[in-house]
Amino acid sequence: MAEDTPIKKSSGGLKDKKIIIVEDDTFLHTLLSSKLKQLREQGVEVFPTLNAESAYETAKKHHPDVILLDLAMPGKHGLDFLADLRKEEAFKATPVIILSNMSGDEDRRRAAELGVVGYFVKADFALDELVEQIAEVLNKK
Amino acid sequence: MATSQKNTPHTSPQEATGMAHVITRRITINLVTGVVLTFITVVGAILWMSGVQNQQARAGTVTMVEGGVSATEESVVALVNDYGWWQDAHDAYASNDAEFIDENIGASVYDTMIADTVAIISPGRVVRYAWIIEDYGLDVEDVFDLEIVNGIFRLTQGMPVESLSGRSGYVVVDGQVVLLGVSRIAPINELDAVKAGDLPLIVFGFVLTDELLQGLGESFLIDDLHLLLGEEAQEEQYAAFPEIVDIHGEMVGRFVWTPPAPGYEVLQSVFIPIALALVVFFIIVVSTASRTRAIAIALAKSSQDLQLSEQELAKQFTIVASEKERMEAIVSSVGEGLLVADPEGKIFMSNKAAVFIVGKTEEQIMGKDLSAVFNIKGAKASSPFAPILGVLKNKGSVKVEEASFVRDDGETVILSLTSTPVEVGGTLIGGIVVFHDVTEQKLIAAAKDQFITTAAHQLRTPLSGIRWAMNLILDGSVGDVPEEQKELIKKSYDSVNRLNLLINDLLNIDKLETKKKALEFAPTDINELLSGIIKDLQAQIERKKINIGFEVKDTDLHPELDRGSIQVVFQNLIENAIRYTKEGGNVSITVEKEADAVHVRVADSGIGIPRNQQKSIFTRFFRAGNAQLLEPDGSGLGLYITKEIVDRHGGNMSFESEEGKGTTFHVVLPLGPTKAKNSKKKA
Repeated sequence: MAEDTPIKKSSGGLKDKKIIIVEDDTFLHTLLSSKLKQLREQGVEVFPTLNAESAYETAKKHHPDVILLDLAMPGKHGLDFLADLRKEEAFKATPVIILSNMSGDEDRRRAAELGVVGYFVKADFALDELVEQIAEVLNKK
Repeated sequence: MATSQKNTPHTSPQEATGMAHVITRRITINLVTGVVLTFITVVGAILWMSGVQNQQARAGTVTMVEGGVSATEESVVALVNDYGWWQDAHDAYASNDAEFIDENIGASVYDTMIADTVAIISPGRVVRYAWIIEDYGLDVEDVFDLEIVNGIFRLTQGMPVESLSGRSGYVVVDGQVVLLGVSRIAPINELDAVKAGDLPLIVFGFVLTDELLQGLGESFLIDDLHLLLGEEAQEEQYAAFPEIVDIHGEMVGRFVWTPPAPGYEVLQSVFIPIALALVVFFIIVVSTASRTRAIAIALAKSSQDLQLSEQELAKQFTIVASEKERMEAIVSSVGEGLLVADPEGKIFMSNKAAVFIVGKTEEQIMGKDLSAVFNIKGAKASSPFAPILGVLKNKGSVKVEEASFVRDDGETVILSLTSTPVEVGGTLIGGIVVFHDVTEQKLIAAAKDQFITTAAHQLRTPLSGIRWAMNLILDGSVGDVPEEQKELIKKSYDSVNRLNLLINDLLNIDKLETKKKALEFAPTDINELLSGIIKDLQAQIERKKINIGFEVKDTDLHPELDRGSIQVVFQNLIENAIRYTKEGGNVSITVEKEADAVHVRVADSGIGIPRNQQKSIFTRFFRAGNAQLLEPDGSGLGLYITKEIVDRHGGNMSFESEEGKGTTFHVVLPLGPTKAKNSKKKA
């Protein structure tokens, strides 16, 4: 899967909204892509990235409206990436939803400190809940 | 074990005992001395009193010793009085019967009063006279000062004999009889011969006739001759031993002058005052001695008691020393590090383990400040040590699970320590810090935690993929599937969910049982937390068409909770309520304030818990029989974990249930500061 390439761009209520997915598992990317099809059909652009470094580049380039962020990834940890991102004025308030199987309290605490708007343990939630959360965040913007 | 201590000198009880013995001995000597002095005084007094009658005891004596034994004064007086011619002689003398005198006494004496005066003194005086003249140049008149009493004579020096009156019989000198029955001695014209030593020294004339001498027996006594020689008198003056001869010129004896005892005159004058003083002294001594002796006895007894006390003390000291030695050996052998600091934080006791763990020598520790001993790693790391000194200020025990510091060799050491104040008689003398090196344990625990976290993550990641994929298939995101396949996928989806729940439970129980982390309490909006959970479970609620109720009777409730843990509690309870309630059933959550606590009820109209199994529901891996029938899969850990977490919040958990009708769980959490075990407050 090519990174930094919108899965699909469509017209709709959420037109021009951008989502960056930071996830090292390509299978999950595929599944997420399928699930976010509805949003894409509404004009949301989805940018899949496989690590923190490419996510940072993508973020700088596209200024996402929401970031779905995995934590345990090769290279920089998701929260370290977020901490760096928050240092930049442009991303101080960017909504971030954690999407990880790391469910430790320390991760949750740090995530809260960094102002994430949602924390989903991948194995625990139904994808519809995720979509609803994303839609809610995008609609608030 | 190293300690620092001070010694206190003390007085030996043996010294006190010795002093008591000395005092007692001195008192005894004084008593004996007093008794002896008093005895001497009394005896002296008796002798002195008797000496009024018999001056031999105190004055000098002239005794004719070579003639035989001494006669008593009384015997001589009696003899003289019975001697008839003696009376006649005196009568003649008194009547100036010259014929009689010439015939019997001698003309020389009759002619020379002076000589007569001398003669009256005694034969001994004649001798003395000669000697005195010769040796000391004294005149006769100077020698004697006589007073003849008893109405016989009154003769003074130089007085003519005619003035004499009375009868001869006694010659009294100074009130004492000095001469008996003597009325004649050597004629004055013989004095030169006496001086020259040519004549017999004493001539008694007819006074000492044979008859008289015979009547006197073999001895003749002139008793208590008392010479009044004035202040110059010396005892040597009397050291003469004149012979006594009778009228026939034959020596019948020799006079021996025994001089008075030295100091006799002085003694005589001061005798009574001294005797009285001695008696008073004796009384005082006896009285004082008696009292002092009583004191000495008491002192001796006290000393003895003291000695016994000291022995007992020594015994106790030995026991204490032995115990101290044992305690030191024990403390020294304890594997835990032990440091004791004074109220200022200065270390004054340590053991081997402490020295080893801290990585310094004993000298580098003793007397040093705690903060100097522990090279605290960074400002944040120093905080765990603050309670050590805090203990000293607040007098409370503090346990610190982890405190790290950098040793001199550069190695970071993690300690687990407990600080406890030490009080003696209500006074704070310092604090004890007991600690052990948990570095290795912490490394192992960290590795284990990392492993579990990683394993859970690794397990969850493929599960997530499977679950999401099934989720997509079931919700039609990837197109329609035949109903039969859909059913299979649905069952698979449920199985994956159960597997996931099991992983979650295992993670939770690991957290609890290994006490991986202390709970971090912070004021938490309980209503917001519960509504969030209900929202998260919305999909399940809808799927089972559960009538959910959430009643908030009191708002703005913020008990101090560990949010992550308490979320698990209510998620478990509400999920269980949903899971074990049939489709279309009721689940209600109620929140209300109750005294100083928050009371949360989670009630359902589900299958309930069989009465005979109710007591086991909080045990690990337990699942009620009817629950297993309804939901075959389940870890049986959920309620155990839930109860553990509530307990660790200092809360209380209970339930009431009736099989077939439903269950209500009650969770009561304190609103005030949480007094939970293994907890710390979140800043």
